[in-house]
Amino acid sequence: MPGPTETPGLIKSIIKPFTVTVRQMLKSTFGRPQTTLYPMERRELPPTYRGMNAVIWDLCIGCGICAEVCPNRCLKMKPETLDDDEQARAWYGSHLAKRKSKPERPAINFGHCMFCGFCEDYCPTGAMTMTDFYEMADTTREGLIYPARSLKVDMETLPQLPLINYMMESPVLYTDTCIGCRKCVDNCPTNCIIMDTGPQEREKRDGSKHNIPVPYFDYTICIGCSTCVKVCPVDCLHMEPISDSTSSGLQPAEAA
Amino acid sequence: MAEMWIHMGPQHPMTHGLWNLRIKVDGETITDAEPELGYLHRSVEKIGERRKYFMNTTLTDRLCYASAMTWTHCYCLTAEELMGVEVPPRAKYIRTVVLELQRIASHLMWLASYLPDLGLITGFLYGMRDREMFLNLLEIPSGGRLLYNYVKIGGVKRDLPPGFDAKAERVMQTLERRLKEYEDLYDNSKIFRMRTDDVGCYSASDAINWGITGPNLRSAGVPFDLRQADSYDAYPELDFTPVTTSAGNGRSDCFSRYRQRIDEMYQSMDLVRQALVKMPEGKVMAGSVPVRARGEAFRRTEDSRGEALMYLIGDGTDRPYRWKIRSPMFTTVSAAPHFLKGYKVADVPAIMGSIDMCIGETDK
Repeated sequence: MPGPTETPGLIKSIIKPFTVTVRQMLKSTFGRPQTTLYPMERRELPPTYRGMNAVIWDLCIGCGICAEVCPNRCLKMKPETLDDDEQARAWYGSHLAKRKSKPERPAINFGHCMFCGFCEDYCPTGAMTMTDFYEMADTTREGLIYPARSLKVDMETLPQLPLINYMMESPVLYTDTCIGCRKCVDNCPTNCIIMDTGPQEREKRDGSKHNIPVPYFDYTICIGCSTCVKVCPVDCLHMEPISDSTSSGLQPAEAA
Repeated sequence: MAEMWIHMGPQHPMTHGLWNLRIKVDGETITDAEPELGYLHRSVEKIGERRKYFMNTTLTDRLCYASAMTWTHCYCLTAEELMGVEVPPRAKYIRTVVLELQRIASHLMWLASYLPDLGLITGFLYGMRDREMFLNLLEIPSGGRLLYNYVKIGGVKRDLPPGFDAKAERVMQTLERRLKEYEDLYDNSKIFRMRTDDVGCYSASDAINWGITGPNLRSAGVPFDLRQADSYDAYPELDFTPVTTSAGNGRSDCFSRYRQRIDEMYQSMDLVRQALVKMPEGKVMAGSVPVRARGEAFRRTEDSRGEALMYLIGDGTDRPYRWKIRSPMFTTVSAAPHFLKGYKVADVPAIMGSIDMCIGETDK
């Protein structure tokens, strides 16, 4: 094998590296240190920092999209009893009061959380936020499971954010199989469904005919949470990508 | 003298990750070698088939802890091709900026891990100190220092804040000053040159035959760079030519691989400056990103370590039917027996360190 291509001389090989080392030594001895004394002083965090989650309950509509998009499945929706004040302050409070089931709020197991921020990104109302709090160490695993109420934060003035469909999908109905049970209406977190006259008729025992109502969707406020699809007892709903036909206004559900 | 097999790894300072290099030695001379991989297999491809398309960016971030952004970007490019999403021009430029910043951070990480292998512990401290500046820079838009989750299918997560280019310029000027110090410190250091000159040689034709890509190929004088050969994002609009180095006669040795990465850092800084100047205004996320996809797509990108390729098959559901990752380091380390033969046992850390191993992406 051939030897080294060029042999550096004395100045290049010893003096120059030595001057760099000495310069650095002086700089680090008398200059500003590279490290910080952690508990006493902290680094400045950027506003985008992804720390512990906090949920603005007044904005949360309990749609469960955060639980849906959580890659580690560490976020679960838990039924919570809202007191009167919370009920009144909630954005969709009047709607929630009418619902039979309890409203749900996210609870997080931070032992499994990887702080990817998907729950924050995909929240349609902006209720899920990530704070800059990161000192969550605990002596037990159970201590890292934060119940829904412990993540609650209040805001003085609520921003009126538009409902945004980040899921890029909306429900579409097969009218043939719909039985008009109204479960989708009862469970819709944004109240974007109404029941109205459908194409099918049901014959009663006495011979009289009754129209079967079918859901109509207001796609302008649909957030694509697919709650209606999950609760449908006859699987007559399915999700489809947002297209021109489903992107605007209250649409009569079409037989697909 | 009788030949015998020695295990270097899985717990060895040379390995930089969890893998095992078995070498057959005749005295001090290596006569054969066999890399054993799989200690860090996390079954990323299979887990990804159970998750929705957009969720997989958290997995691709974890493919390589030193270069998370480039892998997520490769996945997003593939998914965009599969779904037929057009990325806004500003998002393309932002991607170019963060990719090049990530490349510098990755090369600095390599420098910080390679030099202690050769007994220059100072190199670790200097390299890590400078990498910190780039992590701080990448933290500004993404909110993370190691796992960014910043590039998304259809664009990037959020816009660069105002004043980012001034901060980037300040950091790059500092690095340029410090890279000159490194050149004084290492390029001419007799100890460093004795350990790296004409050690771990392979020729350009061998490198091509073995499938070695990226800086390891360009260090043999082959001007092949996927940023130009199969261009993506804002690279076609930027002015650059692939940097190459060579140890003479179209060969690559440890020193030329070191030089190659230092030169690439200069080039990356130039690309960041160009992209920040040319960056147009506008949206950073495509208007509509489908959740479901059908068909197949593959894209290859220039990762910090070589050619990263991802292949996706969609069957019309919201999860990939098959996801294949082609890791550049897997092929490079497979060629290790060829360029280890004939050298001494003490050269193994110098050779294996110089190819910039990353086990996270190799084992997937």
